[in-house]
Amino acid sequence: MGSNWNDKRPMSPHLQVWRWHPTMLSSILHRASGIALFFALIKLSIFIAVLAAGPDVFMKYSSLFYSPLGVIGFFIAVGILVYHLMNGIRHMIWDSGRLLAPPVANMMSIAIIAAAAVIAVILTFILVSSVGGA
Amino acid sequence: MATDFRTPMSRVKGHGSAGDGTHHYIAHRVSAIILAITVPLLIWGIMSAAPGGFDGFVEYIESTFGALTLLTFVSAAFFHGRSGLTESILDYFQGGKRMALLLVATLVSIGFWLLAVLSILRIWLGA
Repeated sequence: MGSNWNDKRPMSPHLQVWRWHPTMLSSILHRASGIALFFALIKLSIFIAVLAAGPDVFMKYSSLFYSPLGVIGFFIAVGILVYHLMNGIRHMIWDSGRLLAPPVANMMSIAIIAAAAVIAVILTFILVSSVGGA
Repeated sequence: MATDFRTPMSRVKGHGSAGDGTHHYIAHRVSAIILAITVPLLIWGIMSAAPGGFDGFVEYIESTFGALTLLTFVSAAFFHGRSGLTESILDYFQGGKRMALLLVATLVSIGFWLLAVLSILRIWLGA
């Protein structure tokens, strides 16, 4: 990167030429959450492999899955997953040419971030109360 | 009337589209649509299986619906994830680093996709 960059196409996002605004934040978050979700997906694959290895192997790690750390992991993973999902749906609506006016797009950026946080809190609450009551 | 609207200056600067984005664009969105359908099912499946511990999760994957949901999800997700990572790598790296990262993204995607698929099949069909 930097001075070694000799690709003819410009690099994005153009952090040096844009002032902060909500759609910029949601764009950066979309990319960051996408990359984070790739690592969450790897963890899901390992989790399924642990399941396939049988009950003995699963029991070795189950205290980790059912610990506060597991709950925090679920909260973060489900939060960025729901955010990426909702913002991704908006990207497809954008592709059709709708909702592109800056005031609407900015408002929706904030709304999607807030909604993802609320949904993550609700889902985590449901999970904790259902596991705790089992 | 001229059919080429590019000015000589634009050709000198060399900016413009790479010309090979359409396939990537469509493939990324098709996998996104599959994920938009399977992600809610997956969250629901994990949340209803979690109280049952090991038995709960295995029961979920042993069911045809659960196994097919997971198989569809992990396949679309690793495809979509690799596609998105590729986009990010192309945006910020070039040269040898770019090649190495693209290779790692591809191999990691295929490797963990295989691990997930074989594990799901082992639980589903080995039941």
